[in-house]
Amino acid sequence: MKLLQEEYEQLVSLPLTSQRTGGVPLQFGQKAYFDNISLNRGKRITSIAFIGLYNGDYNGLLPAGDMASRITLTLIQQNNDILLWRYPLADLLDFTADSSIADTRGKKRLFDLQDVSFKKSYITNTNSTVLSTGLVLLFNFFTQD
Amino acid sequence: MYQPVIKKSYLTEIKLTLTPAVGTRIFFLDVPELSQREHAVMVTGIECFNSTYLTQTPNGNTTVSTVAGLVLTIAEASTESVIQYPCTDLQPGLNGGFIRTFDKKKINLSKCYVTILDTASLSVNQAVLFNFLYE
Repeated sequence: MKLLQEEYEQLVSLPLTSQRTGGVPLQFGQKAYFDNISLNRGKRITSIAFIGLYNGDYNGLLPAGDMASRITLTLIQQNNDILLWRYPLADLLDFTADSSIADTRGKKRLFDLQDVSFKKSYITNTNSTVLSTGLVLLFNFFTQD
Repeated sequence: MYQPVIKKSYLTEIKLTLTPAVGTRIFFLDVPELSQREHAVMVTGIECFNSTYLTQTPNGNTTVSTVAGLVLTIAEASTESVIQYPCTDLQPGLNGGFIRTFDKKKINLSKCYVTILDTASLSVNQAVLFNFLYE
């Protein structure tokens, strides 16, 4: 009999530090790598949710829907295979209070992603409006062993 | 309700290079990741996005504000297996957040195309985004 595996949940933040952005705001097409982020438990990513953004002063979450439609997520495997190529963050945003903003309408996006290299994975600014240094992107990664 | 487990995804775009006209077919450009000849890629789901999902495409084109006047035709080898599928039904936000799933289609991307049925809100140099989920 196959038992249900335990799913772990981990909040992952991607701060757009000057080290990541080269000290300048992220222009259209530029990337910010996850770098040293590692998942504490679980080897297989089973779901990803984009939660939103903080500004550098931690004055609360910025309008996630508005920002999510400007950013994509690319996840690369250890062996350099592309797992997710420019996945729009709006399709990882499970809920927004504004019904005119794109989200997954509460549906959890399910994945089966193994051997993800966060050193090779990144977000891309896909809008002509720059992403300021100091912004912090928040994700929720769900994993299993 | 069944939701696909995504193993790989690739965001592609179709650019409206000419002034949109009813009946025009616009073909996909070839994407090596989706057309590996030796190890055929099997598409398990397709999403279509308008500008509420991504305001600009990765190539810098403005994303269309609506996909209501567009239909998608999918070809496997030289056979069209999904013909004139409404793009609105592939946009999760118009669909309760669900992703439309397909039964492991070995698509021939360069023979897949979008047909314009209504030009309202479409302009030249805008682009339509399609997210192919595959394994």
